[in-house]
Amino acid sequence: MRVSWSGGELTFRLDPEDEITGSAADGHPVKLATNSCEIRGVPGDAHDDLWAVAAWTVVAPWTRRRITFDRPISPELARVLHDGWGVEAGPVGGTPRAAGRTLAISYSGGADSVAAATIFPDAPFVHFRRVPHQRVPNRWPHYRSDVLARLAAQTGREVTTVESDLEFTLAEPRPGYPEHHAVAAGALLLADEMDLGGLAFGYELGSRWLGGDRYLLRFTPDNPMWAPHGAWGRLFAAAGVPIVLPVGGVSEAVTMRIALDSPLKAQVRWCLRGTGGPCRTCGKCLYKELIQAAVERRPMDTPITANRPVARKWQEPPPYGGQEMIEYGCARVPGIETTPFAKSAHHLRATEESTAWLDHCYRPAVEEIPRAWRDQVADFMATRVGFMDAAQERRVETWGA
Amino acid sequence: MMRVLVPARLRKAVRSWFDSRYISVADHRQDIKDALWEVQTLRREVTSLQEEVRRLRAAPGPARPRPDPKVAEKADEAHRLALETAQALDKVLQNEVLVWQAIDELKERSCA
Repeated sequence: MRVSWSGGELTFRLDPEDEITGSAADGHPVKLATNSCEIRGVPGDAHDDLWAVAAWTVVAPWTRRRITFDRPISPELARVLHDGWGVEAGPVGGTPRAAGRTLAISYSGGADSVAAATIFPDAPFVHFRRVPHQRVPNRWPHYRSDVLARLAAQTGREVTTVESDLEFTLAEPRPGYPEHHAVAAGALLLADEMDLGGLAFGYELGSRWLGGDRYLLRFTPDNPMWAPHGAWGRLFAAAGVPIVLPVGGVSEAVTMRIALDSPLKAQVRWCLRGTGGPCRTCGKCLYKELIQAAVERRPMDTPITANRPVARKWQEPPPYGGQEMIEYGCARVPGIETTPFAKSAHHLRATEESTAWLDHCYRPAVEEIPRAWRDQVADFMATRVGFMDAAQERRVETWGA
Repeated sequence: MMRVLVPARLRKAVRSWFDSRYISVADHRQDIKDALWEVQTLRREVTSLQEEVRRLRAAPGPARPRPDPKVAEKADEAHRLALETAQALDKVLQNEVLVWQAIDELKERSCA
């Protein structure tokens, strides 16, 4: 792989061993659509390692053995790329970037990043906004990135919105981040300007420790995406922007509670489609409505029925992505047997006792937060959430076993 | 307790004055019966409304006015064309990446 930047425009070329179909850090196969993208409004004088890491968040899935950047990278960064991916990276030269003092939040506007923002009320936001790609026709106009950007701007917080078409470098499964970390490409390039010493994400207990989403149902202390000692964690740290997961120790039930209780409540939006409010008909709305109903101890309010395509996966037996939250919801929502989750509830047989661990914070998640920000998270969790006891921690550590 | 003799006429007057202010037991019974009847009617109504909601939920949406078949055909055609063009362009873009990969490989070989 050879990459070059021209301003904020990234172009890359495949080496003979590289292929159109690659694999993301979570093992998911991803197909390349085109070999250029743009990140707008970023400064031209960012540290060389920042340009390299930003490019790597886009091209990593399709790089097999080596990567050549258009400017030298520090020996430290080259070593991390080699250790993490077995990739020879160069040219090597220069010194690594020193970490700054500011923690920024990669802010999407969903409940999880709002919860992270609530823990750090003074941290600035960096918001990623999808814009159309010059060469790829946009067949996904229902994704309303404009609405999300508007909501982020209404939070009253210091927000930098980075516009980018980098998601269109991905053809399959659909346009999206080639690696989950590509959402941070803009924040990385802004790191010098914003004096960043850390970047906080809204990834919660399920994503960090329970192998959430595409990465199923197992305890993942060495999560390659989000563990500080994993490949991506070491890479971001080498660029002086360590990954910080303020809500990495709590479930989506807790982040939902924190978000709905926060000063940003009016701007919380997990739906990517709705304009005047959540659309209520997409799969994400269905999943989050289950969690919200469970948190608010009320029946579900959804127009979606079991025979809708978005509810199909809940008619199948487990495992599910985010299964811990399905169990949590099924155990708590009154009248679950009349919802699209009736069959899941029947399979899972979860109870309030069996899911009580999801109301507390997993302590090792706080311990892995960089020292500069650890105490603030620990205090918040101690006063607002409470920590898991030993038996509950065991539930995390035996998840999927 | 002290008992006072009250003239029958006065007693009767007082009683009827009271009676005119209060509802008789018989009237009460009738009221309760009416209320019960009303509750039962409402219950029947709620049941039939619930059935109606269920029926409407299950029924397909209201039939939309059919568009002019010529316009519909054109729209379908445009949609098909847009979709196929976009899919074809996906392939063209991917091929472009592969062509550059081949060119670079040849260049490297001819330089070596």
